[in-house]
Amino acid sequence: MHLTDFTVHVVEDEEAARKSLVFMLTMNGFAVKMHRSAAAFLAFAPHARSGVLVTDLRMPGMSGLQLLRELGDLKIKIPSIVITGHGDVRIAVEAMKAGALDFIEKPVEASMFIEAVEGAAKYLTVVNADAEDTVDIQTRLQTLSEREHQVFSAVVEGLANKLIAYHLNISPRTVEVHRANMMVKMKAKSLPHLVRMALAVASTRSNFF
Amino acid sequence: MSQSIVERTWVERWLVSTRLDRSSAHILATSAVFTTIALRVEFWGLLGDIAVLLSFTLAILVVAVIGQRGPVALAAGQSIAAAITILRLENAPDLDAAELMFFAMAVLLIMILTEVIDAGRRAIDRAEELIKGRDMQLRTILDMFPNATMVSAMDGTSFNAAAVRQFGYAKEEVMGENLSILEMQPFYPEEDGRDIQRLLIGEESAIGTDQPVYAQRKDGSAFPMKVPGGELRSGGEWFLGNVRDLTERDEAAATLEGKLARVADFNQLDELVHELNQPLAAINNYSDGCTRMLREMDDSFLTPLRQALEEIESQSLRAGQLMNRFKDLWANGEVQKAPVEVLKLMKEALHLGLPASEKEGIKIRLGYQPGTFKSVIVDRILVQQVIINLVRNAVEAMRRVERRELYVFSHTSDRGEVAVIVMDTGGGISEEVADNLFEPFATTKANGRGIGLAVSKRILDAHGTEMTFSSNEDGGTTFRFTLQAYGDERI
Repeated sequence: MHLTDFTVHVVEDEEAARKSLVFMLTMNGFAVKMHRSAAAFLAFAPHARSGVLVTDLRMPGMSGLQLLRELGDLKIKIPSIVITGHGDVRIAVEAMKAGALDFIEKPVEASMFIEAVEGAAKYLTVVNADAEDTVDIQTRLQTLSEREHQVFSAVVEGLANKLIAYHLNISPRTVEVHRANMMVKMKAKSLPHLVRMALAVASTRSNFF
Repeated sequence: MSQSIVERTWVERWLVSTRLDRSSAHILATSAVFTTIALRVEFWGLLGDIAVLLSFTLAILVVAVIGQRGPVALAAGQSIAAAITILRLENAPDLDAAELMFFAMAVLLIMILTEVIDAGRRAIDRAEELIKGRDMQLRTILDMFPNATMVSAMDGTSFNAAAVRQFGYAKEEVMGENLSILEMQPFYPEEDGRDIQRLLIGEESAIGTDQPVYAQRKDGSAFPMKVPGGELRSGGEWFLGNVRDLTERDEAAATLEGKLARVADFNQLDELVHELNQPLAAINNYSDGCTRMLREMDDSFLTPLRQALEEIESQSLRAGQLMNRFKDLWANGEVQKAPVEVLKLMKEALHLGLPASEKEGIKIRLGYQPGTFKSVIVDRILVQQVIINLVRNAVEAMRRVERRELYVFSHTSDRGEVAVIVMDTGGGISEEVADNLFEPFATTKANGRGIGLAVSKRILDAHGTEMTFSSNEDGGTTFRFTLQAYGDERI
């Protein structure tokens, strides 16, 4: 799919951030449309042509998470990426459960951002284009030790290391090592990637039973 | 509290509490009768045979006080025999029927009186027994109270076990004292100008109210307390006070206050980071957009411009990341650890810490001991900041010396950790500065080590490690810290 075959919809309340994002995306060859609020995009969404949504999570009025849920209720399918404040991992995980494909923490690194948008765009042509084989993910999950599996379950819920350590009654240092090993074994490139894998496995599981 | 319920005078006490055994009672009865006999015989000339038998009723009354029927009956029998004997001996006419009848009636009444006295005594005994039992129960209950509790009357104070522990006085020591021995001080001595005296036991005492007061233990130490309590009025004034030690509450309040302040700080920090991240993100986006644009234009003239923009982009990104990490570190002492290669970590830090212009005239060496661990698990951004700080300090310290050499290298420590060492050939650190080198602002401008080291200390603290430093052979300083190794791979 060519870059101009779809539009990147940027929902961001702060003007400086919004305008700079639009500039950066435009310069990188994307067709961009900006929206000042979640409500504004929600009104526009039913008429939107093929596009990718990039929304801030923390906004006055309707939040990014609410927007994703509203879109879900309206059965509007648009590949979405959420931008989160630092440390908002739990909300980010919630957003992914609500349908977001990826989350990017502020400050956003341009190259990562573009990669994420391109990744999301693949979903426009093929359903689950980027999705990995769930059998593969299951196989990787099998290689985790019991502890690593516990850490995996906690991490994909958005828990911080200290909390995981507290719940598992082990030291944070041990959690860090388990977490690092788990990420390697799961071949997870990032936390959003790991969450995506967890959600993929969870959905096939729920389809199964 | 365990006093007899009847005590008033010693006579009363004697009368109520005296108990004679059977033989003593019989001896008393017999003695009373014989005394009467002796008196009647002695005064025969004066009294003659008038009411001989009836005069024995006095003796029987004395016996009656003992409160036993047996001795009374014995005395009555003895009296009749004695009267008959006296009349016979004095050759007087025999007892007449009327006197005998009066005597019998008197004895009967005395017997009834005896019963009444006896019943009264037994009632008193039972009541005292009951009170003693209740008293014991009350004491046991009070002793079981976790709070210091005291019962105070006009004539003394009684402490429970907790109060003994709390104040350090033994139970016996406070028996005769009133509550003022606890030497309460006003809780807010100056501010409210309340008089110490008024706070001592008395009408305006804070004891018995909900006002906090300072209590003093026997050893002189003080603690804040509240003594809510009640006065009991029942034949005299009593006061029951329940001491609530406020020490813990004060401490908890202080910690809570501290925590709230930190939460407020954290919220402000959070807001600040959020606010600053927005313009940084904008700078980042704009510079990236510009970079892309310049990349399209294939003009060698624009290359330095593009490179500068790329630098703006990466620096603004790093500024944002640093703020986020510092926020975590300050708010929760948290770091985000991930595996990273040691050499890469050090190389990047060297690059970030030493712009090309400052590298001039300095011999820089980056190295490692072969066989050392390849990776460490650290918060890359923060640990790099530690190295950046050390490198900048080293450059600053070497500004005034001839020989300028900087070594950054790593090796495996004795404890299986990865040690990072930054060595310079600068002027070294004077002893007075060395003592509190890691305190903020411990710097002397001359060697330029400032708040950076305090921050570095905090970063390493959060990694469960610390920095050490020593003077080296070249007159400079060697800084060293260790990091947690990750995996078994070695270089």
